[in-house]
Order: sequence, then C-alpha cells, then structure tokens
Amino acid sequence: MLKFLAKNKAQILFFLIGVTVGFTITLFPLSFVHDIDPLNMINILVTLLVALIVGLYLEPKNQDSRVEKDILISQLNEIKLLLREIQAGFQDVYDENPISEGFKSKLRKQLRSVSNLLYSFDETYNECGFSYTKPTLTPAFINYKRTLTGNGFDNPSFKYDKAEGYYNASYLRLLREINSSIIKINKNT
Amino acid sequence: MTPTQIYIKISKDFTRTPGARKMDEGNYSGEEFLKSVLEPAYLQASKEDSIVQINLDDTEGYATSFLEEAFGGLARKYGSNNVLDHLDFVSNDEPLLIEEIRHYIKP
Repeated sequence: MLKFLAKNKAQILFFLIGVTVGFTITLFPLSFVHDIDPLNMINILVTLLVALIVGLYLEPKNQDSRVEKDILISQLNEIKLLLREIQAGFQDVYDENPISEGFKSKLRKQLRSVSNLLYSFDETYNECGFSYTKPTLTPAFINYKRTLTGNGFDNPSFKYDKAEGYYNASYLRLLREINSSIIKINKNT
Repeated sequence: MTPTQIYIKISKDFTRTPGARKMDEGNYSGEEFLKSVLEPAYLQASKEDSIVQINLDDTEGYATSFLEEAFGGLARKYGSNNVLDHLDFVSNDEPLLIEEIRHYIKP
C-alpha cells in the first residue's frame, strides 16, 4: 500500500485537489450555467482518458526505454575510453625497436577487456528488445586487433612500422562505428 | 556406436602462453599448435565423424597471428565448411574469441 502511494503520489495529489475543488467550488463567487452540454462532457472524458493513458502507460514506458538506452550508451563510452588508452600506449611505443614484452602483455589484456565489453554490450542489447537492428561492432574490432597484433607481433624483434598508417585508420574506423551506434541507439524509439 | 568427442584445452595440452605465427619466430607458435595438436585431433574427428571441442580459457591471451595461423591454416588445408563441421569452442574468459576464430576459418 505504501509502495503504491509512493509510486503514484503525483496522481493522488491531483485527484485530491480535484475532489477538494469540486466540494468547495460553491464557496467562490462564481456562477455556473446549469445546462450540461454533451459535447463538453465528451471533451472532458476524452481529455481524462488521454491523461490516464499518458500518465499510467506511455510515460513509464518512455522512462524504461531511456534507462535502457543510457545503459547501452554508457557501455559504448566505456569501450571508447579503453580504446583511447590503448591508442595512447601504442603511440608511446611507436619508436621502440623492438617493443617490450611488458607492453605486449598489457596490450593483450587490454584487447581482451575490449572484447569482453563488446560481448557484454551485445548481451545487454539483446535484453532490451529494441526494434532497431543491433549494431555489429565485432568485425571492426577484429580488424583493429589484427592491425595491432598480427604480422609477427609475438616475434621478439617485432616493432611497429612508423610508415604504416593503417594502425590509426583501423582505430578511427572502429571509433566511427561506435559513435554511429551511439547515435542510432539514442534515436531509436 | 556414439562417436567420442575429442577435448583439447590449449592451456593444459599446449601452453598458457600462445606465441607467434611461425615456428621459426618462437616457441608455442600457431604453426606448432596446428601441426602437433590441432591437425591430428581434427583428422581423428573427421575420420570418426565426431567433434573436437577446444577450450580457449586460462591462457595469457591470443594474438591474431597465432589464431589465424592455427585455425585459418587448418581451414586453408581442409576447407572452411569441413573444419567448422568438426570443431566446437569454449571460451568463458573471452566469449568473442569464438566469433573471431570463425572469422579466420571462414573470412
């Protein structure tokens, strides 16, 4: 009972105001036409019905949808943050020849974290039940991972070739896909 | 007679630290894994019409070159569909690895 009162306090308050005004209206210096116009009655009833539908159904549904979108968007922002850290670390070792085993180990762990965040995002999206087609970020991520850890990465003498621009290109492509997904999720109804 | 399933756990049956692509690049390479563990198991499963279940957990992680050399290499030799028909994967540490490997088997 208390939960119901807490959840619907706005509706209850307006109901009480309406009832109070109804009983006390005769105390005010107002005059009323006593003829009841059926069209006005229908108008009032339709307005009440619309208010009930909006208040009890549409508004809560809209709030639920907003919460789901915010969760998904925050997950994607977390992925972007981690990718930014990876890029910063990658820029730091660009001149190293060869790159250290410590960096390689850290990079593997970071890429694993991104992979798991993407998986978590997929699972969360499936639970939301949006009608919009789920964003597929995995191919862009696989491509990004391949540019960073393919081509002899585990070779002890491995170094990143400064002349190659595809490291940055694959990162920007992944970032573009993520940003596009954020925009689409936010617009989805 | 029900064909037996073949189980491989990479961290136990091969190494916890998967390495580079080729054997001449270092220890525990994708090529070494393919030749010493994966290919023999696949051939056995193929002969018995059973499945090789590969557990990818409990390692320090997989570089693209290792995965591509091992699983992509197997697919290039025996055909993508044949390989996919006889391999199954378990990856609780990193679930998306399975999709990545399937991408290397059938690009």
